[in-house]
Amino acid sequence: MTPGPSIPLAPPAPAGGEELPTLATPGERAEVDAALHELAGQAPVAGEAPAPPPAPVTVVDRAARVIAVAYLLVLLVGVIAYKGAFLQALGATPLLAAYGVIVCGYIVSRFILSAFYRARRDAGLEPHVAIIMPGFNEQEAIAASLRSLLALEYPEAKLEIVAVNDGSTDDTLAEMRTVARGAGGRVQVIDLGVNQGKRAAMAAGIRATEAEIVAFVDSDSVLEPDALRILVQGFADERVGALCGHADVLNVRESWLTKMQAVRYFVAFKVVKAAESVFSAVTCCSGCFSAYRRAAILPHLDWWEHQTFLGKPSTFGDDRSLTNCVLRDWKVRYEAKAISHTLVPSGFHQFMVQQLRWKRSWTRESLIVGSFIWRKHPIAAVSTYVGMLLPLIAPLVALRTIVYMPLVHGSAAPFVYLVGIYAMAVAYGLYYAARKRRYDGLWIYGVLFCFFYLFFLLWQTYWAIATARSSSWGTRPSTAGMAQPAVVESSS
Amino acid sequence: MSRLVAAIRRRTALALLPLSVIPFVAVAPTVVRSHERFERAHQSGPLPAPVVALSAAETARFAPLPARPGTVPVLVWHGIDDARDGYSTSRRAFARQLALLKRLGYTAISTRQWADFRAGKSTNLPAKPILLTFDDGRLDSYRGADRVLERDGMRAAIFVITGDIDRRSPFYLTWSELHRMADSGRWDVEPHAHDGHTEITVAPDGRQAGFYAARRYTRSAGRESMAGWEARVSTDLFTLRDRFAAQGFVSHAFAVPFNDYGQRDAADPEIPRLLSGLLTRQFGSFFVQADDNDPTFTVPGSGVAQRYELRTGTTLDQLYGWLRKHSVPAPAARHHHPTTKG
Repeated sequence: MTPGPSIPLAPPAPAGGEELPTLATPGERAEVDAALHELAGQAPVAGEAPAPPPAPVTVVDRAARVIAVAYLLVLLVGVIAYKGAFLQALGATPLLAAYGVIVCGYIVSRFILSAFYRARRDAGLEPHVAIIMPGFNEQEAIAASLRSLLALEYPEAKLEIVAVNDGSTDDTLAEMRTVARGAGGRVQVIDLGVNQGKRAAMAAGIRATEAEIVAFVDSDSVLEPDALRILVQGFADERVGALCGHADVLNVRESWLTKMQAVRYFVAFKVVKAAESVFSAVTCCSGCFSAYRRAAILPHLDWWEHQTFLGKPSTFGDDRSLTNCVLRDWKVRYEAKAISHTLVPSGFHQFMVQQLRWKRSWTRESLIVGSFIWRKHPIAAVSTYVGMLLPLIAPLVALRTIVYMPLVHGSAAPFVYLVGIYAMAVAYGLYYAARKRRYDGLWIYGVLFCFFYLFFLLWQTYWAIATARSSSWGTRPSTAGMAQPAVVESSS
Repeated sequence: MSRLVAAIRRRTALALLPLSVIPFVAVAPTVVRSHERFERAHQSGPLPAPVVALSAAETARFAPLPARPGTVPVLVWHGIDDARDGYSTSRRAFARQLALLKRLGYTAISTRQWADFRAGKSTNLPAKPILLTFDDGRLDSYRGADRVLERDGMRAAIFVITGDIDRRSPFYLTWSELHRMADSGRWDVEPHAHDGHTEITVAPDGRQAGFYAARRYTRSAGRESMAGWEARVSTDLFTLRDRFAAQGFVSHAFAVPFNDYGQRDAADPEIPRLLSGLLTRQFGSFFVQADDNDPTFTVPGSGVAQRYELRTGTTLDQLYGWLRKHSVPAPAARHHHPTTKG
């Protein structure tokens, strides 16, 4: 879902303000809030005072935003000017200098392209939608998740929920049935009996419905009440086969790691996916929240369910893989206003394992997407190939700059390199700061994330490639009181 | 209380905007230096020699000069650069100057040949010898001059400031570059100063003079003693000599920084004499320029020797005029003393 192991991104000039989700009726909102609370591990207390209204946007917020935008522009112009001054280096160290220019160009172009992203207009579309929600040992959260889907702002007759129990050993199935009983036939429960894996569960759900549109919502994600309605408007274009919703981090305040991911998700969606969407070539419809035309996936369903890589079944990376099936022949777009909130790993180990899994599926799926993306728009194709190449070179360049150069040549290269990373990181953070209506110091975690990426995540790439065959999810059920079994950690 | 915490939090969050600028400011000098060093490392090769030719009018004007046995004219440049800073000579102007020397039949000699000539051991000097020198050891001198020297079959000596080499200042040549130059057979490496290529305060009114040329004045200690002067100057010269020895370079002459060995200021009349003795003992000969830039050709002997200085805007006519004037022995010419004023 979020970017593969690419370079952390720097932001472009923001294109207009961040739109706060429009809240639905108080009743629906309460339902969603309850689900959010429950997912975040804090059951709402009966009779609890309603949450205070969000603080108003003040003059200070506006000023901070203006400063962030100005700062960002100065930074970007500075970076471009600096790179320009260094162009002569192309003659001296062509490979290295070319790498620098390409990285810079890749990042800046993401932001420029994302500025061309336009959200879809409401076309009044209300197709028949089936939301597939597979569940494996999620008795704590599954009911809340399903109820939040029932509360969506969508005509009841046109929305069905397919809950698939993937051989849970706890009360997940019972919870599903309880919700189904109270839902007047809108929730269909399928029981696989034995654990067959997420893809099998999703495929069973897809086969069990006749709905024109099939949507997927991870059981650790909650949708804004209007999210589904907004998302499906993109299908007004007959050539669109899949749509990716926006994902915000739900458990932002949980740890420093979730704060970092909040900024990362924001940029990865608002910038990277938006840029890809300009050419209708989004390469990964996040498992958090996405919708497909059933007709677009049916021809690939069997292959996808039983996909293998180097002789081993591909268990994770279901979302990226399914997107690839559709992207080959259809348009795939991102819808920024269709918002889901998702739980992200809060512990270091958990996070690293997730990232390794993402990189493995990125490796596998890059080979597939690389085989046909050249038929898409040239800019989309070049961006995709560059996006594949950079993570392969980045660790080598980092090693050379941070270790080899200072040790062997006593060079100041690491300072230059680190200030480059820092510039990118600050730009990245400022983008977040500039697009939030209310000034939020959280952006500094975006800066920290870039360094976290440099010191921890960058180095996973080769290991992920070397072990891309692995089909292990590498997770154990979380003990944090928060339902987080293997299945819900989807997001390839 | 929680309101206070919230207010503090908000202030802190806002402060992040200006605070995030600090690393940029902190690292900026390092980045600039590193960029300079990068340029220095990747732009240090010799530049192509400009194509120049004397015009017909010039060829006619610059008629061949008679040889003047027993003398060697010495020229000095500071750097080869297009900057019109008073010191630098442009690459084109330098190439034209060398074309003139070639036209006049001069052959550039090495500092070793010149030292032998000074010592009266001049056995196989060319018919019309000339010594070309560069002061300060600037990178641009090498880059701008090397290919021109090569094309015209000439050579030159470069007088280096070892303190600046130690500091790895990008403006100056490095030891490894100097060795490569020496190995090419086109360049001689000679001493100019260690840390002595700087000016010091010499009087309470803040007046400045060359490091070697006068006693230093400090507000706390007043004027240094003659012993203090001697210790300071000899320490620097010995360091200079040691650096040369460490690099395996043999010196044949010394070039006096700022053209001042104390002769300009009458405040310490003994300094020119002491310094002159010190330099002669250490290096055999030392170069100065004439204040009116009309020095004599060098002749056998030791101690001070004079050079004709080429600066920004020096014309071919000026250079030719000087060479012509001294190629014909004047009855009243005084060879042995620098023309000093005041």
